[in-house]
Amino acid sequence: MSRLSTKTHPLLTESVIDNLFSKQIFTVTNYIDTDVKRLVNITNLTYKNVLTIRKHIINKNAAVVKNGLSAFEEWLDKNALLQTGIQNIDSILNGGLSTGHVYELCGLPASGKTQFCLTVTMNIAQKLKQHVYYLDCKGDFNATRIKSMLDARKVTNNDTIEIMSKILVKRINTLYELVNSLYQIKTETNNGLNVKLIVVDSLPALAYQFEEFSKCNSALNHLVNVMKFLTSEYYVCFVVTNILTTWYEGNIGEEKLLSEKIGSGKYWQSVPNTRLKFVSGEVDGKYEISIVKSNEIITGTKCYVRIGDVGMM
Amino acid sequence: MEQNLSSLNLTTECYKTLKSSGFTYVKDINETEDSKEWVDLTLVPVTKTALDIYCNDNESGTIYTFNGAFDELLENELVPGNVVEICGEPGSGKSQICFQLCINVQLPKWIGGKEGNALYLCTNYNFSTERLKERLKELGEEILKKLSCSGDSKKRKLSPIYFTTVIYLQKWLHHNKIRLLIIDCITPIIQQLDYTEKRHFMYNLFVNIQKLAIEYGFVVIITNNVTLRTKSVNNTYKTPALGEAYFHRVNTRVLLERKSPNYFKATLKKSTIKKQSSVLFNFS
Repeated sequence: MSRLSTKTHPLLTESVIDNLFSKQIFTVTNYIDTDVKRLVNITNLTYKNVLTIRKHIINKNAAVVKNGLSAFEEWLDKNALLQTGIQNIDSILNGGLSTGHVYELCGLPASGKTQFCLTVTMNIAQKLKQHVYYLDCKGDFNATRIKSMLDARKVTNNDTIEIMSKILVKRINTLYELVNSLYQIKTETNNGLNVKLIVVDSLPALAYQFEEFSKCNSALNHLVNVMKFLTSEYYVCFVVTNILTTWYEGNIGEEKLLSEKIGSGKYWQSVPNTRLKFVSGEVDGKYEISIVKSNEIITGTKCYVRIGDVGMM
Repeated sequence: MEQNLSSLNLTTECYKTLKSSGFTYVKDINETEDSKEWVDLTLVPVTKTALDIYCNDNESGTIYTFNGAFDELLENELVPGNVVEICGEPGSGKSQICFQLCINVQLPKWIGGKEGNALYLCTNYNFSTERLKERLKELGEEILKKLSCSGDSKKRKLSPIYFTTVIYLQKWLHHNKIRLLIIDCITPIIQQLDYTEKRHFMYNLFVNIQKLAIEYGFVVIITNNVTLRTKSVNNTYKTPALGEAYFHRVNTRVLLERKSPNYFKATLKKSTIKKQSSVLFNFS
């Protein structure tokens, strides 16, 4: 908390805080910015006590220095690969979804993005017996589909109940609700809930509600902030779906150029660590998945999957 | 890391006032504040497990057209909260299906109805009571035999279909047991808008309707036209109107085609439950 209160330091009694507030010193930043002699006058504390409080505040709020080795050891200790359970995709991703990463799935509508999300959600709840958060932004989460996938895999009734109660779903209507939800998940994780995968399906459904780009980008910025915090502090993996739209450019009579545009705005484009592109095969029912952006895997690597009764495989 | 106040949906003035009085984070305010505005700003949607949702969905169930093949295609799609788009060229049976569903939703539960009302929002003046009566008659003869009810009930089924606009929707839903909302058709509403406002209007409309649909438990059906798109000079193809950003937002898409005077083809183009597939059906 940045606002000064009696909890900040035992020496800050209520009367001292009232004095500080009356002089427009509200936050810890204000306190540190103010000259020590002036603080002595305002608070009637001794010079030494004012300094002690100052030191305490700095120690508590400043960023912590980590050395490279301990950071690496922590990463080795906490990082994990979450197998998607879809063999071909695991192999192009070098084993699975890496915790601490943000994955984006882009593709034209009806190209298998939601199917991938549902399959992965279910696989992780089933195999790792871990909670998965599914943040459903356009009503695409379908429990009936999950149930039928489990039935097709001949999972027993008791297991089905257990798996389905591991999947936590929130229906999100606005980008602000999404940010609030992630802060709540942050608190829950801090209190011991073990979540390693958060699925956001889909981002443009929220981002496209804004009339002004500036407002949308500001809200997106807050979203990315809390996402990056969750990925780096709690080693959570994010899967976010995004849209592709096709545009034909050129004049009448000229050969037109086809271009594909990734949704949710320019700002978002640099956020994901890895971007997977989904293309639905109209003829043979195969879906092509390729990597179009990554800092670890060669871009252009692709594989083919099918969608059946048991999910994506 | 704490949540910053600027991440809430505050007006700029409001944020500035708070900032100058030394409030930076949500937690600085949270403990004492419980006004409605504050609760709305910091609203976090409730968490449900997939199991809860499954049990809930199963209670409400699908609305049927009583058209075997077509119902099989849309099994579990016409459920509350889902936005189903029916698209097709003029005369491909879009409105026909809507009329049929309007009637079926009002039937008693034991023959597969929902005992609720339908709300028909028509944007191109194509709502026809005559056609509705026809459908009702066909259905009537078939079902009346089993139902053994009088002619009055037919009238009663017809009357609760209303015309209204979306603005009054919410007030409306309080007193009327709506189980089906039809927008026939959405294309002119969106196409008359300026290019810059199209997308956010569309997305806002959808989010608001879906919110109400979940709260009051009704199915949303939207009809859409087909348009021509150019790939290159000699390469054009037919595609449902309004583009991909719109297609992304609907949950289910069914494409209707008229194959012969009596036969229609329905193709499931997008669905979270089923594969793309198609069926042939007729209206008799």
